[in-house]
Amino acid sequence: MALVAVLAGPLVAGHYLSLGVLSISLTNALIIVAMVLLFVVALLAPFPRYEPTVPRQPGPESAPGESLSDGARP
Amino acid sequence: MTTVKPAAPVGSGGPSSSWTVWLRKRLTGLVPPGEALPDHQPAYVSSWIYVFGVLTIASLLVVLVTGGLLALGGVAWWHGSSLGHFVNSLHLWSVELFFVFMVVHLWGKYWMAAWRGKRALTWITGVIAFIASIGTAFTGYLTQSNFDSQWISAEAKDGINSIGVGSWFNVLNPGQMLLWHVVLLPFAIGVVTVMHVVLVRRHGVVPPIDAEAGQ
Repeated sequence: MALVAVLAGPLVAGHYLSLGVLSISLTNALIIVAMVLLFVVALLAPFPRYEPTVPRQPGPESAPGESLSDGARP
Repeated sequence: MTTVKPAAPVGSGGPSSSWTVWLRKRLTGLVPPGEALPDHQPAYVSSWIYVFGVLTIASLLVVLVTGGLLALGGVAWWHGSSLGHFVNSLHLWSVELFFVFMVVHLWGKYWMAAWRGKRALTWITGVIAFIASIGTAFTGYLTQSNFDSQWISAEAKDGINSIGVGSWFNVLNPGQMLLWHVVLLPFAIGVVTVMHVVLVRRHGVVPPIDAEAGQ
């Protein structure tokens, strides 16, 4: 019966945004907007910092003579 | 008087003659010492944008575990079992998060030109993982064993045939699509992901473009 009810009911194709030849469902458009917002938040939101209990020994990424312009390791 | 030369132990023809030694040196030399599982990162990594790579991997692990459970239950499990439906939903939503995190990771790495500093292969393996993930998701649509998968496969066959590969990649063959989805493509993604992570550890996290020495 449930299947009959589904088949007999109105079939809704969803809402679409159209701009010329471009067409995108409203759901997909909202997901893309949410991803862009997440990207912006990831860039701007402050990242929690902590003070290490043990002083850091100089590591490879801070080795003298290494160019940090691109961080290339020898 | 003659001296007796001590007998050389078997297999002492030099370290280079053993394939195990060669392989050991290759494996241990993949990443610099201490960089395989580091406990410190450069200061510039203190940003949320650097978190999305590991979020993608975490999502991938959930995808693989839930996909394995679905494979145990069979393709029709989720149609008649509430537990199967729950696991299928976990699989779906972990895939959704997997792609969201991967795309944000991609955007972040693109805008910081993450291929700098001998990291071209890291970028390339990421691109391959992204493409293979799209293929895996598409074949996942085709293995739902419902009207949706029938409709999508009927639509997809024209596109696949138009590029001339329909004979080898038949989207109307559910068995073939199932094996692509649960074996071949996940294996490819797993291998490429391991290569990607090893390359990240080998070359380090790319610094911001305006980073200065000492940061």
